[in-house]
Amino acid sequence: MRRLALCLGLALWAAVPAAAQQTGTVAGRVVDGTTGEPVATAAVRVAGTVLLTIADDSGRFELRGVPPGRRRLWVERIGYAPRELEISVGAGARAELEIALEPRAVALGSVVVAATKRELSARDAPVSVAVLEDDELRLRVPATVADAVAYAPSVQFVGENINIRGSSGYSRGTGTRVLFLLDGVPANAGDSGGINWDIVPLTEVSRVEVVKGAGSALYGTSALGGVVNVVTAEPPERPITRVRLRGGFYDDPPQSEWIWANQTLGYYSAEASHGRHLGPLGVWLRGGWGTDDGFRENGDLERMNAALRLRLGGAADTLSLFGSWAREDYGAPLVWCTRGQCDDPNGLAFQPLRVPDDARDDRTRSDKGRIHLTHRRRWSGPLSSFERLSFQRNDWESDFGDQLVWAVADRYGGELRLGWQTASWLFLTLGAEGAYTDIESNLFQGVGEEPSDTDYDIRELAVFAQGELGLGSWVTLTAGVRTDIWRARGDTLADPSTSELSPRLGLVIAPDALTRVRASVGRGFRAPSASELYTATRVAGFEVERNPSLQPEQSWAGEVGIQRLLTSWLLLDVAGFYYDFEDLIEGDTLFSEGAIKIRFQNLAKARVAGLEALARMSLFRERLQGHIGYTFLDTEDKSTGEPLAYRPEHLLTASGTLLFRGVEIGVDYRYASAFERVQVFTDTRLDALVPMRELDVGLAYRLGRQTLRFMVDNALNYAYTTIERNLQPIRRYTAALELEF
Amino acid sequence: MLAFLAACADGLEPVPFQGVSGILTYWTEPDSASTDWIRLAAYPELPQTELELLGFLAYSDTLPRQGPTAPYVVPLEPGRYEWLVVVWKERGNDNLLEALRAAGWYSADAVVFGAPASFLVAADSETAGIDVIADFERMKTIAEVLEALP
Repeated sequence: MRRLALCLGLALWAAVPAAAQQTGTVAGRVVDGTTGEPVATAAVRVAGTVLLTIADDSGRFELRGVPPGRRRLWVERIGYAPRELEISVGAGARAELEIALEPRAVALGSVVVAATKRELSARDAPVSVAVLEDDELRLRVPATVADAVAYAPSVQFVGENINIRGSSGYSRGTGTRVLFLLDGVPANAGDSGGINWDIVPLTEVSRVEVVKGAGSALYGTSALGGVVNVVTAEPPERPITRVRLRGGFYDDPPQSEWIWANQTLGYYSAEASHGRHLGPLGVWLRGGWGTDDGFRENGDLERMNAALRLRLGGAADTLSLFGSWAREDYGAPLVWCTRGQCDDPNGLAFQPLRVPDDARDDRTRSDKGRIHLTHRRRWSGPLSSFERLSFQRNDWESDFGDQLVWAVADRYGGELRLGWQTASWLFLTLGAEGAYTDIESNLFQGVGEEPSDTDYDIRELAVFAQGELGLGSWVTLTAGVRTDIWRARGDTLADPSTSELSPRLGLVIAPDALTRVRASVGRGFRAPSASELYTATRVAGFEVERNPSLQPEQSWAGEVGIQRLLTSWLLLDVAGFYYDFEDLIEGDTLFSEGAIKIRFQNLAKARVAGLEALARMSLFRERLQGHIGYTFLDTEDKSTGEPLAYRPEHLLTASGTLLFRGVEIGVDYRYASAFERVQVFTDTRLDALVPMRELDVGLAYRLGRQTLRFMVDNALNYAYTTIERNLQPIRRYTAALELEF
Repeated sequence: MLAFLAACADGLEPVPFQGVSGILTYWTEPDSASTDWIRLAAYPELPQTELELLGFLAYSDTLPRQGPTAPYVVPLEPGRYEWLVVVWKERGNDNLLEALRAAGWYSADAVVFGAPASFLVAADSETAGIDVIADFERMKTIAEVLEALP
């Protein structure tokens, strides 16, 4: 591995003199071919090189260092047909262009950052990326970003765990194999490593990027199975005020024997935001409140959040600040009621909408606050830089009646990164990153142990380098490597530490503007979270044993994919992928003296192989749009030969939207085959494993900038679980009014 | 399409309880400070060895430490069960051979340690009214239990 890093460094060094050769500049404006209006965020790339840029809000772009001669220019933007132009570039000359794009609705050309830490078209990424744009995010009237991400192909939520291509399974809220980024800044919780989706308000999200596959070569720990990057919206040039009112109610349960409440259970929320420029300073301010009775006993929730986004400077030199705070207060039953645990006149084996009598008052309060400051600068030469500082606090407590458990985790982070266009065929990304997490929790105290003054902290330090090389006129090679040093401190006898080297190699072949072939192979790792290492507690019938000798889990991941625009209305993307895991951290469950004991262990060598196919369509002059995505997963715990727990074999998402005279009708269907294996409750009579079938139907009416939406979620009122003894939400009806001034 | 998807709806459905239920009567109450838990355990055969006795296959949730009575349920597979016993565990003692005691068992003559009585559990049905009396001042050790059982 070290030899690979050295070779990469020498290759990059050798490339530097090439930057001095005589080159030209291509600049211009991208406009809508129908209206003549500027088109922002179009990706403009010189074929056969790694020169690319993203058009600004006025559609302007500029590419320097273009080799002289006849060149092909590719221009892409979501909602428009990709365009290929032949241009002539003179040495030392400047070519000025106006490029008109014809509207077309097949989703193509979304800009992503998370795949390579550099803005580029999702099609040019060497790994599979799903992008949810702002319209898609709001279409289904979601309550949080997670509700919207659940519609992305190859994504399934198992409990609160996001599961990309079957990498995660279910880890009981501790640890996730997906790295959560907010504007490119890591935002996983410092104690559990989990994701708090409510930390970012949905109304100010510009897009969500879901990068599939191991991303540790750029991001280090947690990016074992993928990366989710939530990109917040830039403050608007003109003052905008938005109000979103949302309300709805739950239907009766699908089985009359399960009815538990004699009143209608509803939910309401209100959000307001205002964005404007105050001189050179762009501002977004936002606040929201929501309450939900819940569809099951003790399932109520109250949520508040506030966020602030500031931006100073233009495209060449930008200082941004994002701050947010969110509070949730909710009932926290861990499992439903089985016979004898609550008064059930029907005498059933379980009541999925009721909870045990002793869990009726269990509650959790969770506060999340974060602030991050980023600075981007495009220097006059071939250099660009990015610096960031971040702080995040996760502060929560759960009251289980006879026991109060709590944790406070402060995570400080920083990153320095340089982008260096050394030549038209080579773009370098170099960076260093560090984080320090300080954790206090009575979960680490141990059953029957006296409180101690032990300090728990985690330190992380990393450097990384990535080169993007244009090889000939068709091929782009991406090679990167990152080394991480990670150390946890909290138990003087067995504090774990590790140093990890994570290389990745990617290849994109682009024979024409319509086709991309991609391949990548990379190594990923995830260091155990503090919760997995040190938790030692007994709550609500579950007992967790600490295991401070846990080691990081590791993977090699590879994929090969092809994407092609087959006709003007059909885009097809097919990929095969393979993960090979070592030292997988899984909660080993055993029943002892009637209690469920969980101990996190480096148990398994495992593999996940799969196939993914996605078709996007746009028919009848873009009035009917949709996609069908299918994922096949074949998983194996190599030590037992059994399938991995909490992974479906088949995943299907289908979505269609019909637009007609301001009315939009949307239908979504998500299917996941029943898990072949779960870990805790395995009595198939009491805990039947059933598939997930979720049908959602929506209707929206737009009048100018105002939108009225109706939505029926789980229209089939289908009863299923993703983790044992936790019913997923039953049918519910939602209305939302979105006002913009 | 809706009709097609609805036809495929093979989701969770109500499941009747299958097992035994009844009332546990506290003849005397246990010492709360030294009690880790109290449960009822069902055995298809009368245990003859320590190993068989410690091989809990079916047991109730933990039951209250104070009486005078408490309802209980034990989910069970269909079949005949020969022994239903009230098990008490001492707090802070993980040696189960020492920590477990029998505080009473189900008997036809409704006495604390009478002759064990059997009961049947039919498929998808609840065998109710299997009431048990426990005396926490006269608990039997594992050795005493094996001696007392036929």
